[in-house]
Amino acid sequence: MAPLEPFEKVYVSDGEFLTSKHNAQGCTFCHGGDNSTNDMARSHKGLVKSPDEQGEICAQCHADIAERSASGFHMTTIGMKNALLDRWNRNKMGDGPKELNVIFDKHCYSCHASCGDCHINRPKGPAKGGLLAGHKFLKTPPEDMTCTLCHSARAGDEYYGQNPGAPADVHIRLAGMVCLDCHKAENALHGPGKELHDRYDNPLLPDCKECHKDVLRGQNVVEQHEIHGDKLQCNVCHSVIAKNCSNCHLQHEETDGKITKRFFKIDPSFMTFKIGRNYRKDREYEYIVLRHPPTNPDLAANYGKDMMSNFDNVPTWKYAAPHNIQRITPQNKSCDSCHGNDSLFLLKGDVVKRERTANRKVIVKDVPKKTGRN
Amino acid sequence: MKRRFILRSAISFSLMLLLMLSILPFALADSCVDCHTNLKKLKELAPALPEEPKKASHGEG
Repeated sequence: MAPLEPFEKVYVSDGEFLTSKHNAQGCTFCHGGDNSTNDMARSHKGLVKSPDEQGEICAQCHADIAERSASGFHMTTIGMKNALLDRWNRNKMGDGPKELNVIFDKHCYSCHASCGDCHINRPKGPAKGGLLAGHKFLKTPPEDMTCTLCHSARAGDEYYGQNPGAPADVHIRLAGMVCLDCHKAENALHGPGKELHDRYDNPLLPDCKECHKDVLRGQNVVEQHEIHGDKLQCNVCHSVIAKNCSNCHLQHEETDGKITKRFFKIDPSFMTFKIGRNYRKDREYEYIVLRHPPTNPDLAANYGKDMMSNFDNVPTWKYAAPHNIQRITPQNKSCDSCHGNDSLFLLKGDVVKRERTANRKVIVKDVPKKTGRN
Repeated sequence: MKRRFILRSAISFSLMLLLMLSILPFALADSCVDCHTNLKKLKELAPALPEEPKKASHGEG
């Protein structure tokens, strides 16, 4: 989506907003500044561009949602910090060196989304901000201007079939479902109200079985569901190739001893589909779908030595839920489309040498044997 | 009695009207609204807007 021109971003085109309860106390109540002068510099002195960064203002009326959001991932992006700290080994070495927190604050935290980033304006990071609908407060955000602007390269492109060789998700193709149909605001989006380790740690995440109750054991009309039960993550049979990343290196430029620019260099993404052993204690599956995030041992080398001194603590092929669900996939066409098919599984040879120890729990040593059934 | 009531009502109404008219200029004098609801004016002022800082993104978690 093309970014707005700078002057368009701040154009309050919605007349209704001016007389709505959200503007009952006037602009300066939330944004500060001085509304008694027409001088641009003076009127903007003390201006708070995004007054709801931590949801404090919204909390005055929407206390419950704001309280839950305060520990939600959109607000905290804490999952990314935990991914760094897990590889730093906080159990032995505390909450990391100063540089690690700088990395989080200056790189990871740019993905932070405030209340307004969904309900008032486009997200500031990838979409570069700007009002969604002339400052109207939208209870249900338009997903193409909010959700998929941030969750684009993976979830969004997968769901809408934008990746080469991967069809759009069946839930959009045949049912026209949108993000919020599964990711309900009262569940995962606003957060469960307690601090989580990562996004899969959320007990309120969408669950296929909420709608597909007929796949529960003992109620199956599909034999394979009865056979595999909870041993397989649903995506193992029902996802297709998805985007993976590797070798991201965080960079910064300094001028006169001050950091003036932060960016990253990354290898081109690649499409693959890999099944691995489950390493998550909060999932009962035996096999899961894996995705390689952009991490690597040198991710933070630009900021200091040994920033990931415990790199092997966490797999680099991680539990994933590609948003490209299909009823029939290459691996579920028949039993032996999957059984004995080495190319589907993450084998030792698929993992670069320096990441093999980190992935020891997910690498498949013995691919399930062929059944002889078609 | 009735005349007194009408007189008192008229005076009250006049006073209220006077009060509303006196605060109207202050209520309307909101420079934020004057400018931010005027696209032409915003465009004229656009060169004065500071460039937004570039940000990095992407990760896991």
